Amino acid sequence: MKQPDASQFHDLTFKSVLDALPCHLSIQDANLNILFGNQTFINDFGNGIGKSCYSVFHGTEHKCNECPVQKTFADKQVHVAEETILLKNGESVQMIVYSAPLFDIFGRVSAVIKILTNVNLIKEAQKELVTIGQSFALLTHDIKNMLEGLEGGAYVVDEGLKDRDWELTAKGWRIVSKNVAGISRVTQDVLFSSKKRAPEFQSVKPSEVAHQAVELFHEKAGTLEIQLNSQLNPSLPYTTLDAPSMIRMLSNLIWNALEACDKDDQKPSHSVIVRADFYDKNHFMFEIEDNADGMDETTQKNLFEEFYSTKGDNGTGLGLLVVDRIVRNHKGKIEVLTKAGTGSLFRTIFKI
Amino acid sequence: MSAYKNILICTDFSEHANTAFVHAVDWAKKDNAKLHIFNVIMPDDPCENSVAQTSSDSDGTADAASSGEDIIQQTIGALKLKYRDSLKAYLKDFEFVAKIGTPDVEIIKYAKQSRIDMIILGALGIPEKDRATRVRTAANVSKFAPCQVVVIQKNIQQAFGI
Repeated sequence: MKQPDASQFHDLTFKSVLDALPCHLSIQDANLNILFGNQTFINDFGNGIGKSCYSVFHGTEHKCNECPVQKTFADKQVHVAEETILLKNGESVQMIVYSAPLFDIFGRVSAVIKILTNVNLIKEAQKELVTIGQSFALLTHDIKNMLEGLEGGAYVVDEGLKDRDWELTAKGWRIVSKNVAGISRVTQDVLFSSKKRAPEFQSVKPSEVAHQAVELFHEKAGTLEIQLNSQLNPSLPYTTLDAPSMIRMLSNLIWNALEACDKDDQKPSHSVIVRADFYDKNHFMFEIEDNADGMDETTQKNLFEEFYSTKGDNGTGLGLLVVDRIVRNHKGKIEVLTKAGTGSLFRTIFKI
Repeated sequence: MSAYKNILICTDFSEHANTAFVHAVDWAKKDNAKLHIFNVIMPDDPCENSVAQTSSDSDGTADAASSGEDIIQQTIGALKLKYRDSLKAYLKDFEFVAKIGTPDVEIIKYAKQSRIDMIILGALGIPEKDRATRVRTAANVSKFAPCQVVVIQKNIQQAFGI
């Protein structure tokens, strides 16, 4: 077998190899002073040679309680720890700290080599995994409830048919329809919030988009005996928008408003108004206003948190998360006005 | 009826707002309340809540302004110029406040923060064609404010010479 030709690497110095490592490498003495740092170290911590590691890595004048370097000096073993490290630009980063002994000719630990590896991205991924796990459990629970509702509705329909009781049959069918719509909505929200979907930007009239969204809910509003009105300014100009996303956003807000009205038993009648109008000469707004029960302070604070819902078994909390994501994708803004016992108004603002 | 302690008068310098101001001063004097004179500056970019780097004087000449805080201070200056002298003769306790944002949102936010117990504002403000926003400020404040709201139309005798 042909031996590899190493002659081309003869000019490389040991230091240049250490400098090229994509991790922070330093060598420390028994007083925890830094004797050497590679280029990556210097880039992120400045010239810390001669300074203590705790001042350079943690910005403190006190030794750390669980110091892997001290442990290595004590037991001559390799130690690994996870620490929050402060970079010279003020950023805090999660790092894996690896310490290994450097021995002299008598087998004593003369220095310790310390390698720091940035694991921020891995930590983010871990957090995502935890969120996905929680989401899956919550969604499964909600879908189970809706399926049970579906079974209950089907049972009522069966009983109605058996007894030729058309009123009971209609009641059962309403339960079935409600739960089918719920499952459909949850599924669409899950798909929307989990898939990386490329936006389909096109020139559309915001009032047309709002009209399409409102059209989807006339039947539901009628069934719930809620007035669904729209005030759409036709003079809003063509604007570049991802129309399917906008319809999704408006649908979620209209759905929430209708559900809130349906839940509120304090008023004799309910209405939901959808508006599309100029916000100012360079921006337009959509408004969805209801006269349901409004929101208390806690609900307002948690509105756009993942999986926060006030609808109990009838909501996953995904709807507003999807709204928030769509607004952010369009570099827009959400404003909420609400008063407990009075109603709510959701306003989204976008550039024309 | 218990006396009001903190009254908020919202002004956009319009005729309606000036009329509302007269009522607000009257009410604050009667109840010995603190009067908060409030103006909301519409942002150039509402999505970022930012104002432009330049603003215009009433005569249209460009005037350099480096930040939102500068524009807030300029607006407070304009409020003082318009209202302070006429207020001094009637009230002891008053404060000028300016915020950047959507008027209804900022009015309600301030009312909550400052324990306002009555908001007074003009019905329509500036004529529609000249208005900076189509937000239905009076209607929304009336519906969502945490306190009493009084909406005033113009056409009463102008007092204070404003």
